[in-house]
Amino acid sequence: MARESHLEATIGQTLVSTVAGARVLMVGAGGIGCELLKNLVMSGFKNIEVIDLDTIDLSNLNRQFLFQKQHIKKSKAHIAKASALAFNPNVNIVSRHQNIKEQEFSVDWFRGFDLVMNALDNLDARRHVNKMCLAANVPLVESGTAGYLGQVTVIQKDKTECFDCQPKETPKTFPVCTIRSTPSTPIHCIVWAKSYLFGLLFGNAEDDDDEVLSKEEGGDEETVNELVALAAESQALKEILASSGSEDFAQRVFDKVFHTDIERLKKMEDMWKTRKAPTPLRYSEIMGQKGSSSDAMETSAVEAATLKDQRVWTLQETVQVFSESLEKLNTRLKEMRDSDPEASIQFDKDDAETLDFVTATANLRAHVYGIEEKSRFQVKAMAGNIIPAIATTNAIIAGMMVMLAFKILNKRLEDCKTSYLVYGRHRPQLIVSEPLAKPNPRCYICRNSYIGLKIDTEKSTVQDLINLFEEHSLRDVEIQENGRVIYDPDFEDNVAKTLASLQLTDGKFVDVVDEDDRKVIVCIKNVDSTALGNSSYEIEGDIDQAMEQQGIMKQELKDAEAAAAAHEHQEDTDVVMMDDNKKRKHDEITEGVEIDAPLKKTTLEGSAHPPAEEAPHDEVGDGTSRAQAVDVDEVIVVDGETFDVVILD
Amino acid sequence: MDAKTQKYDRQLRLWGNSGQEALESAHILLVNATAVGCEILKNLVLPGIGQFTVVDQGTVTQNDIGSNFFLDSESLGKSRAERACELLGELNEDVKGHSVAKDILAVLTETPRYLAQFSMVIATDVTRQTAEKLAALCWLNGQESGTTSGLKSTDSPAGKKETTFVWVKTAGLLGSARIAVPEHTIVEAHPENVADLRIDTPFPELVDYAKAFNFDTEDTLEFGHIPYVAILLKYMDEWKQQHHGKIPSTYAEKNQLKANIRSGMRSGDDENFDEAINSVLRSCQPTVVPSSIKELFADAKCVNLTSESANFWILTRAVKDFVDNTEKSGGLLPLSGTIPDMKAQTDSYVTLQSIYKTKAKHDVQEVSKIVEHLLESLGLASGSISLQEIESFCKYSAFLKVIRFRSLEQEYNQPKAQQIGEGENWEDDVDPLHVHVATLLQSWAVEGDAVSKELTHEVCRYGKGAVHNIASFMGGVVSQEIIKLITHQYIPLDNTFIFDGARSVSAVYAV
Repeated sequence: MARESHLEATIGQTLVSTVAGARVLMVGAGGIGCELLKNLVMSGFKNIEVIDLDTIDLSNLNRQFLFQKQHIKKSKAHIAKASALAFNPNVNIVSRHQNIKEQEFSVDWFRGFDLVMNALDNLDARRHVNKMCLAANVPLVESGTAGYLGQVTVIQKDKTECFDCQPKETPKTFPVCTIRSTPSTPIHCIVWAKSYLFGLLFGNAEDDDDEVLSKEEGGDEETVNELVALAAESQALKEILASSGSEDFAQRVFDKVFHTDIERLKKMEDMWKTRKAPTPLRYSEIMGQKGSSSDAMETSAVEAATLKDQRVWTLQETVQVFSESLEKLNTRLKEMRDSDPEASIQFDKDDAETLDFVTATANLRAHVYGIEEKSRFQVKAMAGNIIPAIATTNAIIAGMMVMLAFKILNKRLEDCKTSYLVYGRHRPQLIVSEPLAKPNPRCYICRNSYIGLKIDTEKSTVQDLINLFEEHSLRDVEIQENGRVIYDPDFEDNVAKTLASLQLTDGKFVDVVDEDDRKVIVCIKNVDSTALGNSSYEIEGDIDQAMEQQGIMKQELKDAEAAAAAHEHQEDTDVVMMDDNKKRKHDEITEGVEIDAPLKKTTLEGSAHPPAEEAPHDEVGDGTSRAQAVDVDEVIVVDGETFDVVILD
Repeated sequence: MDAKTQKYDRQLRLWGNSGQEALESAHILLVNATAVGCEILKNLVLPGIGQFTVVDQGTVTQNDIGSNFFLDSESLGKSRAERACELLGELNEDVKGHSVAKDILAVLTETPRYLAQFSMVIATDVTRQTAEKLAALCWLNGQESGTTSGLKSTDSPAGKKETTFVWVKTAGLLGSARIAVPEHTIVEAHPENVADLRIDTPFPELVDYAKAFNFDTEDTLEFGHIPYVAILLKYMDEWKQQHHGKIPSTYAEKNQLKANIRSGMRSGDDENFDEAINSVLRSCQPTVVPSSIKELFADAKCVNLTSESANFWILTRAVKDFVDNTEKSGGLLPLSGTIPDMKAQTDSYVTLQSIYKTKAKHDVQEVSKIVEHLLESLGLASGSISLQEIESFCKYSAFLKVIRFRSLEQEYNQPKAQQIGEGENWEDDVDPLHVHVATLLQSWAVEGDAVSKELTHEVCRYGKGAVHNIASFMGGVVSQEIIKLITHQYIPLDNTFIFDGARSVSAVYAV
């Protein structure tokens, strides 16, 4: 029998040819990606393009089975291709070790695929691919896993919900004073170590941006004064940096950060009226107790490395790790700066020295403030936003992705479902499915019209842009690019500037809203004016029809809102019970995502609990969904292998 | 950090070191190197099971290569068992693979006790007869070693391992999996919320703690940081004083308690008061021993301990004796000792945490004493159940779970479901299958055309064909359940999983 006879018997000759002719883009070659690529090459797909900017790490090998030890540090995309081809050489795979957000991957490039499959681990890239697929009108299979949980769905412009139709939880931020002056939980100390101290010591002077720190708005006088004092503190530490390389460098940094700065804070009596005041630490006092120090070292030499990783270090051990990791990182930075004066070291949870440094400094700070200290293993999870990941879940999700791909290519979008892998339900279920949701009429991403605009960005000005919109009945427009205002009727500074001078270059998206609140997203394509002939621009897509449709949608939205208002009272009563145990203040980590992370959905299944949350922290959340358990109403199950017909009660 | 911890980092966060140890001491037998069988093993080799053995007398065909990722074109004509073992072994150098190029029945004729060495037997592409035979042998192992099932997968005496049987079938877009083991015990079910706050029956240290808070303080910061547990305790205490010591039981009463707490708020955004109000419903559920745990206490295995008893049952008995000693326990399970996060000052949070932890530790000590006493009376070595094990058992004592699966024999001889029909050539099967379905439906007084002939045709059309994608999916599902079974963590499905890929519908049945 031929290699693919079983496939033909199951899905039919027609679909097998469709699949063979389909061009598929796979974004991500990690946990889900490895499984997916294997499934695609084994399921008759012949044209696959795989892109991933990441390289292989040891911690990938427990599930990313296309990679082996000898591949560590190599490109995921390239190795995945090579490994998969070894098993089925009759497939054309293009691999790219690149970021999907790069400009060359334009809407036109996306349009070259029949199907896009996301196997991503972060919100940002997911959003980007979502937007590109909407603009290119290419169906997207979206996936995510975390521990034993996972989900898979399909996104198709105008037919289904898009990735951004439901609001996503934004990364958690902490008030700057909590992090810098008054931490009260371990995560505050870890954020301080990772985002503040680490950046200050090993980052670039310019980019010590406190991404997770939000400036408190307004702020009373005390807060403002404190912020000024803190800025001076950072400056003083930078001066100490100049002395790096000297014998007592580690001690100087230590005493500055854990003694001088703490002493200063301690004097602010108002701050400690209702809080426990911090206790400063001195390097010499801890390391001076020589006897016990060597004892500690002996035991740690004897015990297994694992054990040390999973228990909280003693104070002396912590200081020891602090000094050692500081020296090593400092030496590394110096070597890097010999060739590139701008070089900096980034925190990476899988980079042992950076993790050591963050663990040690976070724990020293916790010690100072009387906060619970954490083991290196725990700090790694909290600082790195680690989400547990295993092969089994990825295999299940990737399997479902390919089934969805079959249905999409077979033009059976209506048969596709959103499926969730659940755990801990009252009912014995592993997978729950629900029909694909309709687009959210309020979605600011997919409820817009996308058009392409060919224009010479070197020659055309913003005024030209305004004129051409007017030709298509869009009056009094506001023009924005990625949140930046280019033009509105009260802001005319840019009208005479060329698009290129405003970085409105090839591949950029521009949001245009008219006086009737109709919105169109314009994708700019730079074309030399000579190529455009008589006209100064060319529009791809029917802008007039798009605008008309927008008007209709606006009306639908109004109707929907009116209907929703009528039901509001009922909905209110449902929401109260479920958020009960979701509040976590201590031990909460929420600043981004990593690893095959899913779009965690909170499920409203009767009044029962939301889906079990084995993931130790709320990594991503995309708000609530209408996930309903779909009852399996068919009682007859036919087993095709032994042809047993089983009727179940 | 050693390389192994680093390699397994992402999964250790799911099942911890104890789960990993259990995996590493597992030896898994795969009967027939089918696509789904190899996918299952792939997902078990990657996270690092100890050993696996593939038994298969067949040789690799074109069809195998088309559906099985772990058999490449070089394998054509070679032993399926050997090639699969080789290629799966490449996935993880820490896993030992063995292969036997023989039929499983022949192996069993040579070595009747062959299965006893395995912790798990996965059968794919076997006839019902073979499946029944394998299942019966595994079941016997399970019963013989039922006494050692439970926590100590690592310290069971050699040859006394429980052997779980899993039968996996795939056909076209359909797949099913059946698990059978006499008894499976779980301590770490990973429940969502293990907090056990005892607001209704606070212990003395907790009462003192709550009383120390000044609810009349002028300091809004201090007021806004009174932990919600203290707020609940205060208002619950007031309620009890007004209601003859009873806690709110009706919905109206619970709402009244909420209203009482709300009236104590100074501003709309006292988050700690909101936390208290949100916890009223849970706190008004009287703290009792759950009925599922009472059932375990009454179980013969708990009542009649022997020197062969598993740690799980000795510990269950110890907890039962602890609960029965109301003077020590107040008739309640050992305290879990964990508290949720809440709005609070660090020091008052830490104090509260240590109050619960201290009480939990105290309960563990009491249970330990009983365990020692039980071990002695059973003639077992003192300390043979570690303190760590006792601690974990006490912590999760409200969530203990025992699953007693139905055997294949029970399924067929005392069916909850009824099965009929067997066939060879698919086209010949359509009519008989349809007749069988109709007969069955008729006997149940269901309209005869409820299942169309197209449907039976559709099912027969798949033949025994294996599609890689379904194999991969089923491989994921089955290996996930196997990991739950091996680690004795999380609750595995009981006992049959069925998947219809055509409609993406799945279901779990206890047949």
